[in-house]
Amino acid sequence: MKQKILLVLIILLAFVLRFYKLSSYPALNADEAAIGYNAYSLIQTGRDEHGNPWPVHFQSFNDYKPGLYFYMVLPFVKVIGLNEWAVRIPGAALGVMTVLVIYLLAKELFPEIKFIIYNLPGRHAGLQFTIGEIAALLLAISPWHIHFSRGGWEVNVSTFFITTGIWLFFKSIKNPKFLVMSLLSFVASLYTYHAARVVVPLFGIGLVAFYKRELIKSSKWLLIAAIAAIIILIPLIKDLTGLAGISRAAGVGLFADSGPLSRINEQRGEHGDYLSLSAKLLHNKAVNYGLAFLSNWSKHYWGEFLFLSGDEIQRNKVPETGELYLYQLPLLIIGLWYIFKNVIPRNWKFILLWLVAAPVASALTFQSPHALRAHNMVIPLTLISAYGMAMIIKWLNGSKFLRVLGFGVIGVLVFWSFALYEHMYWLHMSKEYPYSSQYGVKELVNFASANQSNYKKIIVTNRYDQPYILFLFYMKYSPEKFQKEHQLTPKDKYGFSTVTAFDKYIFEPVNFDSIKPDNPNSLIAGTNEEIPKEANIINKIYGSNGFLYFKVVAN
Amino acid sequence: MKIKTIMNLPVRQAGRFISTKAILVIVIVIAGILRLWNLGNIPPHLTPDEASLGYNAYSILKTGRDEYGTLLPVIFKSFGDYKPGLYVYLTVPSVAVFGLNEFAVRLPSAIAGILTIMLLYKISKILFNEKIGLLAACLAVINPWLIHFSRGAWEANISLTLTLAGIYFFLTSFKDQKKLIVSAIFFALTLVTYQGAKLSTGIVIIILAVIYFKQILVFNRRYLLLGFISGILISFPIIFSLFSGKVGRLEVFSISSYRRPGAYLQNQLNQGNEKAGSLSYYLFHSEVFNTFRGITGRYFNHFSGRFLFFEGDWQNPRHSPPNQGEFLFADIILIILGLIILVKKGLGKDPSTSSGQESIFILLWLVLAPLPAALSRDSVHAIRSLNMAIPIIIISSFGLVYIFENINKARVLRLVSFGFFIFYILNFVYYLDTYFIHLPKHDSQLWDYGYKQIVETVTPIQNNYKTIKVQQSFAQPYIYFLFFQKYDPAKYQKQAKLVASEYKNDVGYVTKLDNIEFVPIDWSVNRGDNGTLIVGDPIRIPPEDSNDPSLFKLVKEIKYLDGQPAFRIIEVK
Repeated sequence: MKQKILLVLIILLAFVLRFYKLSSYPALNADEAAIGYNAYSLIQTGRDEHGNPWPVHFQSFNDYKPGLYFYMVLPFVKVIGLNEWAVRIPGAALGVMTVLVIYLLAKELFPEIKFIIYNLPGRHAGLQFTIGEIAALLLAISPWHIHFSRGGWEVNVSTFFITTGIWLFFKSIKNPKFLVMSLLSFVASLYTYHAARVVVPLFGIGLVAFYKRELIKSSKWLLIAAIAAIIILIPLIKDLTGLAGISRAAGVGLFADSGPLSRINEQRGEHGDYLSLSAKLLHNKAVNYGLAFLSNWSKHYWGEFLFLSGDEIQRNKVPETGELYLYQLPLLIIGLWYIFKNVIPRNWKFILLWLVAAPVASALTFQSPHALRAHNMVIPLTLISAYGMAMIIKWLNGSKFLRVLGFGVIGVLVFWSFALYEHMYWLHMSKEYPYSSQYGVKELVNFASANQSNYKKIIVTNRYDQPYILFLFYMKYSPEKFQKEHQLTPKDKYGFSTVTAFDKYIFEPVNFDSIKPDNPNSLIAGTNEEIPKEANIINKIYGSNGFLYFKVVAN
Repeated sequence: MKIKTIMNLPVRQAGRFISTKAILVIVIVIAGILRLWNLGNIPPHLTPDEASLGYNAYSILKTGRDEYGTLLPVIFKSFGDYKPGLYVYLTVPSVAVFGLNEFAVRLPSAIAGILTIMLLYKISKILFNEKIGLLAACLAVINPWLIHFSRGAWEANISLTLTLAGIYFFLTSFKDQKKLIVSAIFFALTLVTYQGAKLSTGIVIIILAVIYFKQILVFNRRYLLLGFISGILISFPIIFSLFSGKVGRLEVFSISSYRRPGAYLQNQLNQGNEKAGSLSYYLFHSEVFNTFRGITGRYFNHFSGRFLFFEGDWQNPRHSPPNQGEFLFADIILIILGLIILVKKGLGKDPSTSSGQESIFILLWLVLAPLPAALSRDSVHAIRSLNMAIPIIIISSFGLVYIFENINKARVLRLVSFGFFIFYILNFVYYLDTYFIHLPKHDSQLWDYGYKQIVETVTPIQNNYKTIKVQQSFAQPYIYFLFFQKYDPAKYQKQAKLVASEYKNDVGYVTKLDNIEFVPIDWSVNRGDNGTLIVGDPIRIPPEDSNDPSLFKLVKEIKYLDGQPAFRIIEVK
């Protein structure tokens, strides 16, 4: 028990960092509201918001979200009702679980690395820890991992399943029974997130290539696992051949970017003879999209992304914060150094493959680097950092003088970086990026639904994402009624649809001067810019971050 | 079996049938072709700096003085940017032989580029072994980064060659201590060649001093002192200039002149109800930390795939061919493999292969080489980080050696390596296409194309007009008139006058040359300058307002090589 006390503390830290004020910060976004409301709709009617019975992919905004996370949220909605906690608890809880799994995985990879923190005189052994605790601590405080644990992010759950699958696979080398659980965990990740469908097969190929002999030895269990996996995969495969897969690939895929295509024309033009053989051989779709893919892939290893500024998308980032801490750079270099200096320990071959293959799915889309789609990269990066840290501790343990100084410096650096991250997260994020999540909408819904009986229509600006789903969510609007009365708009240029009206609610751009005369006796909520000062403003809606989001006009 | 015989030939027997000398001769011939072929026409036009170096060399050749009449200066005033002068003096013989033209100006850099390969071979041979030396030379010959700066009058390229010479003589001085003086002279000469050398050469010297500390300790004090003195003597004018106010440009490019805007910081502090000077300000938002973040970011950019393999210098597109990184993409495999081998073997426990010093030298150089670029304001900079090319090439050659040594161990390896070589060759062909076909057309505007054509058009009719007005620009149009007209330097020195820029410490302008005035064109005014010839770009001289044949005569329209209009030469009737 005494040996486990460090681990328990680390898990506790991970828990606090992921659950503290989980329901209110950051504000719920439209995708999370969709997860919650669809789960609610399934409980009430057995159909999703658009009337599809028990789907594998949820149509939602016509982006066909993979379904497993919805089904994980469902029991929470059933028990604690439709609220932010219900949507976020499964994600945050599995985030904490991932910290435990990385501990187990690191121990599996490096059973031999052990440290003693202090030596008590006499018979007491010091407090022992392994590389597992180091990896768990680094993941527990990792900006990349915390960010996507705090919220209903499917990707975080898929990373949990992938990591678990890999840990169980390594365990199966000694005990082949674990193969079944391992494979099922991989299958679960496929049901959770799009990107997993590209990278998990790559990991599978790697595992088969590196562990041929072991797999042949345990062929009986492999067969059982494979059959179970295939049976469970059938609904997914059936669904993917339909609308869902195509819809997603067309929207965000590399080919949606016309840059490489127009470059072909430019380059062939520069050859003088546009149709010459050399122009066609050198400048074609295969070459240019191939280069675009490789370039996207390499961007995930860019220092600016990893250590300084993170993703470009505001929702996925904390201001002035990288996906990793800057102090992880020396840890990574030292970790890799030792991996290569010693004959690579066997299981590390796979971790390196993981590091290289993790961004492949992300590189196949046109936004790179992408913290969300390449999220599972955080695991190999943390493992290698932990190895580097373990090696440093080993050096430092060699001398008493270095130990005090070295641990002091490392401790200050780690703590300061962590404090900086928390500072930026809690004090700056929602104010630096006020539109990164749907701040202010909850407040607006509370006001509007309390006053709705006094008005014939309620008109809300659609400036920020898909407001309808947040209204449904916070009003707990009857799914049965909603399924009957709404219509999805055609897809916009990014491939998303929305709903423009239900009940008395209308969601549209507020052109105040043209709306005002046509809609007597209605409540109009627009942005600060949309509502003129002289209008009859009865309320101003501020978000939890103090920003003015809506002005509400009684018309 | 077939693959085996094919692969066996070059790998196993090359060493037996082809002597090292023969390989080196072939390497030099290829280097010569890649660096000299069509040098006058590709890149497509002289940059203002190239033209200035050339004309000053011409001026020195004819009169012994620079364009401003200074006798044999070490630092040339040029556009007010005070260029260190060695490149000019290297160009003097070249201009004497080939005349004042593009080829003559670029030749010294191209020759330096070829010498770089020889020096790289020698250095790698001393540091590691013959094989590494030969392969490093082979990789350097076809390296896009080195080729780019060897083709064109880039002072930094000469500086790189001199740095390598300095390193070479330093390494040989362990056997012959007199060489230390030669080494010091070469290092000092880099300062006389290139502004940025102060930092990049300093870095190399510090690394050498730290790594070879023990060897330096046993040096004869006399040679150490002589080396030190000769280095100081040669670089004295440059060091002196640091304290005499001619370092304006340095300030413009230095990061410390660029703090974050006050409003940005204030907004950030307001978010958290923080105050400048409070504890949380010093902990999380201090200026020092902000500057550190900036430097780190720029440093990372030099190790990004975008810079090394896909886009090259995205901040200054003239510093690399279009859509091409500083290395071939296929090099990524050699670099990663090489790094692994260097870590495994060079620093491993086996002291018989290497003492480890050499590997640390290469790795340290790699780590520190981007510093001069990271410490300046551009987010990336292929010139200021040019030294990086050398350690990376040496590292790649370790990767290549590894491939050659293991190729015959298994059939699979043979196939994979064979595939890789094919891929590498295709990659190189793609690069050749990018450089020789696409660069001239795609980037002619970046290379200030059009001024030569202006001079060629204007010169024969120059005396028909009382005044000719040429649009003033950062491209320093006057220097092209001097260069392409082969203007008599003695005559120019008498009228040379540089007007200081309105921006502090930036380059200045020349506003008049005989009857040519270099002025901003304002078409609403200048369209009424009867009897004047006016030269400007289509934005200043809008075609729709300058086509009326009763008012204007279109003497010539000059187009960029991609077909876009560049300049209009109009006579106002």
